[in-house]
Amino acid sequence: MSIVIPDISLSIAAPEVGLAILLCIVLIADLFTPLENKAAIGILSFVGVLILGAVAMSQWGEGVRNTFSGFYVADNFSVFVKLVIITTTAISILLSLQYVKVEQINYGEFYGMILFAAFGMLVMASGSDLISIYLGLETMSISSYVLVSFIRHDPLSREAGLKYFLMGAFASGVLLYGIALAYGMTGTTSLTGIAQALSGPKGAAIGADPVMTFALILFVAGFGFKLALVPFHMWLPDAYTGAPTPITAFMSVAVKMATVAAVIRIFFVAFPELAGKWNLLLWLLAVFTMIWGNVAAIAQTNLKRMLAYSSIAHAGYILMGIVATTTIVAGKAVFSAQGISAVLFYLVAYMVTNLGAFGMIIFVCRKDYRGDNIEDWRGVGQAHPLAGMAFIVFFLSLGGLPPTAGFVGKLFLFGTAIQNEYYWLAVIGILSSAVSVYYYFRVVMVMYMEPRGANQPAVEFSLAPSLYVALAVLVLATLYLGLFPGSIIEAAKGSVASLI
Amino acid sequence: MENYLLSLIAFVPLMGAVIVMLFFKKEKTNAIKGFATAVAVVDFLLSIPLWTHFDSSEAGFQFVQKMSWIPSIGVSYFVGVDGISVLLVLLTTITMIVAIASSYTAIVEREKEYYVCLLLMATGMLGTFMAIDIFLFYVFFEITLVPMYFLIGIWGGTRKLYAAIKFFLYTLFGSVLMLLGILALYFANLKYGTGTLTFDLTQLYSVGPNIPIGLQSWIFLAFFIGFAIKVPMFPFHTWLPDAHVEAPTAGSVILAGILLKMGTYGFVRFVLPVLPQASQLFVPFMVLLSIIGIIYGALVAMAQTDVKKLVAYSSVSHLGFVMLGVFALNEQGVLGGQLQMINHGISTGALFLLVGMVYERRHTREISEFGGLSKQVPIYSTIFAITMLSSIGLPGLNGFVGEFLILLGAFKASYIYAAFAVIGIVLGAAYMLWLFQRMFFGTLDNPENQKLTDCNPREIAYMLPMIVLMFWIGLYPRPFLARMEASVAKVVKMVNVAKAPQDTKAAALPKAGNSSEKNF
Repeated sequence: MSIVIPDISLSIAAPEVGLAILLCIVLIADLFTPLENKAAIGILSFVGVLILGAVAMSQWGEGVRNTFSGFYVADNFSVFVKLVIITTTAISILLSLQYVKVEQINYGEFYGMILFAAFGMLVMASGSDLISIYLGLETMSISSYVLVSFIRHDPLSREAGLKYFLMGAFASGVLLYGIALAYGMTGTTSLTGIAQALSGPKGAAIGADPVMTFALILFVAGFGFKLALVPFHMWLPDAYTGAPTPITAFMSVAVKMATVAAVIRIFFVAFPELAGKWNLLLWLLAVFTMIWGNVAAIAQTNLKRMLAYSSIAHAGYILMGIVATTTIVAGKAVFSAQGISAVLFYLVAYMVTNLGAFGMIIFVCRKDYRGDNIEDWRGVGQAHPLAGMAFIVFFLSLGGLPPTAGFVGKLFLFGTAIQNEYYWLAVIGILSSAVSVYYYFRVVMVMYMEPRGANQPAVEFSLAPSLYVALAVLVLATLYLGLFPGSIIEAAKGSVASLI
Repeated sequence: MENYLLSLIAFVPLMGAVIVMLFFKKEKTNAIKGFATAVAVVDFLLSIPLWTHFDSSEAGFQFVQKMSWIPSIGVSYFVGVDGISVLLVLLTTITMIVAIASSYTAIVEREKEYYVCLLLMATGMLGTFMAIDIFLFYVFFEITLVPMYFLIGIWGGTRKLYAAIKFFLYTLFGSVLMLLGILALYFANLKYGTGTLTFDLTQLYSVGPNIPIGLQSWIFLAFFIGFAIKVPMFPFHTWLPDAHVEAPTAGSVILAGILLKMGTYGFVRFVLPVLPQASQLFVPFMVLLSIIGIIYGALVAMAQTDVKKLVAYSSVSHLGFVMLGVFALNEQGVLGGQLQMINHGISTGALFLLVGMVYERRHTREISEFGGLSKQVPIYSTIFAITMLSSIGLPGLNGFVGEFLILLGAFKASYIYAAFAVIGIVLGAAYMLWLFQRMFFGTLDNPENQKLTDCNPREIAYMLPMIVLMFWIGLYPRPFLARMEASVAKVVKMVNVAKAPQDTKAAALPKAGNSSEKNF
């Protein structure tokens, strides 16, 4: 019996390896840091993550490189996704530094779990096999369950964590079942292997088999849960409201980015032959998600919960982009590079905007005052014009109004839909996005047009420099991407060539 | 220098707004007022060369500035003015001075934010009229929503929050659908036109006739909803009375004077030349809506008991006239529509200012509260009379010239159109004269009115340019019409092309000789 030693090149997986090392350092350093100095752990993680960003960046343009026996691929797409994830992680750490003190959850594990989750996400971005993607997904999910319930003394947070865990575990099971069926039908878990099996001589028979269709449905449902697409979204408003705010921000962007990357890779690389089937499913989900996310957000009185529903709606826009990317010409699926780059750009725009919006909630929160009800923002715009304007910028961007990143992002997404003649999808999407402006601007209305109540405590913003830095960067980035999106568009376009 | 002139005009108010925001303390209201006025005056002075150096014989864009902006998707920073937009730019810069000057005593709280909003508004509106790149146009078009939302929502009347969000959402719904239309046009250019990705209007002008009529009609409808809500055309007008009544005086002046023109301007600038066959196809529909707007607006105005609401509904009627002229699709009609845009901006803007003056003194706008004012406030009454007569189109004043041209154009298109429009003119005279009679004649029996003071010098000063323009355009409209003629002729020529190809195969350029085939 001979043992085959797989060809493993650690340098190709440098971001993940680096993150694993950083994790170990953070966990060990945590042991030797007294409780009052835990911010040092946060700063250590922040610096480490920045270095990892540089490492990931250095892999740009190196071409497609496989390792771990085809379980792992490094290409421009994965680099782009990883940079978004790493940036989100870094900013979320910045947003956490002050928040954890206020909520009295200033433990080193907090940063450790964020890094664990980020590790899973990076693996997902580079997974080229259903198994490695699943491993990444589980690493990410389990760390997120812990993070969501991190405010142990708050029942709301514990409840959120439990709900998220139960639904998440169920979703993982569904997904795993889908993977098993796909493996059973095609005999492989490798994405390219599945594509070959489906396009091979017996491919048509496999594709027509109801079991394969069922597997696809399970894939859609499993990822639907993770992305919180309607009707798989029930867990999200509770989880997002109960979680520590920086974690909500982190999850709303990074989990979405990693999952979208996995969805794009799985559906576009492994299942192009079955595009007609999954595309229809996703079309329906996109419509439901955009409409319900925006309609349900109108009724919310809690700002975090409103942003949670808005994040559902944004997942709908992103899904719309994925659907619109696909056109079926003479029975064969064609994916437009422009469409995928539109999705990637939208995620970057969403990153700066949504981190900023949650950052504003963190900005106002202090001990025994969370400031996450819309009412809490009465008169804030009058008393603090600069903070008010920053919030307006984020809301404009979320609502897709110029001159912000969100506008350009929506322009690209809807451009893809129009170009590939998904007219109804575009009309439904853009009307629901117009509805969204109603609830975003209700907050603006409260901030500027309603006086602060007599019994409301005065607004005091946090004085932590880390928050000022993070929010200033996010506001400027939101405006910059809205006015000069060229470089990011080019990068997004350059990242999809290897994929399709 | 000339190349940067338009950008300078557009962005001086923005710079002013930033300076107010950063360097003025909110308690120093007089300094803020003075500075805002200075910015508006400087902006107006900067825009004077657009009048003096404008070449009337040139139909294309002048004072052009073009810079690459987002090359990967074909967006450029491309501004310029032609006969269609140059007067609107000038109207905007004048109206801004008036709007700011009329707010000194009317706005007594949160002045700093107020003047910042007004100045931001100016940049948005000026940019809208100058942009030749559709992307840039859309950006400016949307940006104007935000400061206007604040103007209504913060400094408005009792139902200001409702009016503000209604205004915002209504216009947003239209403009997002228009965005889809813009995108469809952008990709149609890839398929049927130059084959490049560009938002440059001058390039998109050539693709229009080649787009199959089916797609063209959809794009038309998308643009139609966007612009028709802005105009507002019947039945999309319901936001207007609310917004007008609740907005502060300067907000109403800007809304009526300039913001509504963004819709009518959009039709002339984008819809007619870019979608010629669809425009021809929809003429009966557009004319029908315009005529309903004219008559309905006038009838509803007649029934109002609130002066401001009356003026607001009269806007619906007047803009129906503008749209009727535009969709007559001949030179007289479009020219009249263009001139009437300016006229409406001047006379309705002035009416709102006058309503604002009396509201500031009496805190009521109920017509029944007034009566016999002509004895108490003679100067005010005189100005009101002139403005009212200009609004109903008395010969010698500006409204007459515009309405006459529109009727001429409508008559050339079909005498039925003109017949209905004449009914609107009669009704317009009726409600205005009746209003005047109820407010200014009769006995001065309300003791509150006996304490009314007449216009002060500041008020006369900011009304003066309006009055001068009313007489100038009314008595000697030549300079105004001359500046517009060449560009209007070009638009009319572009819209009257042959039928569009029915399917994608027949996407060949239509022969120039076919352009004699007109719809009417």
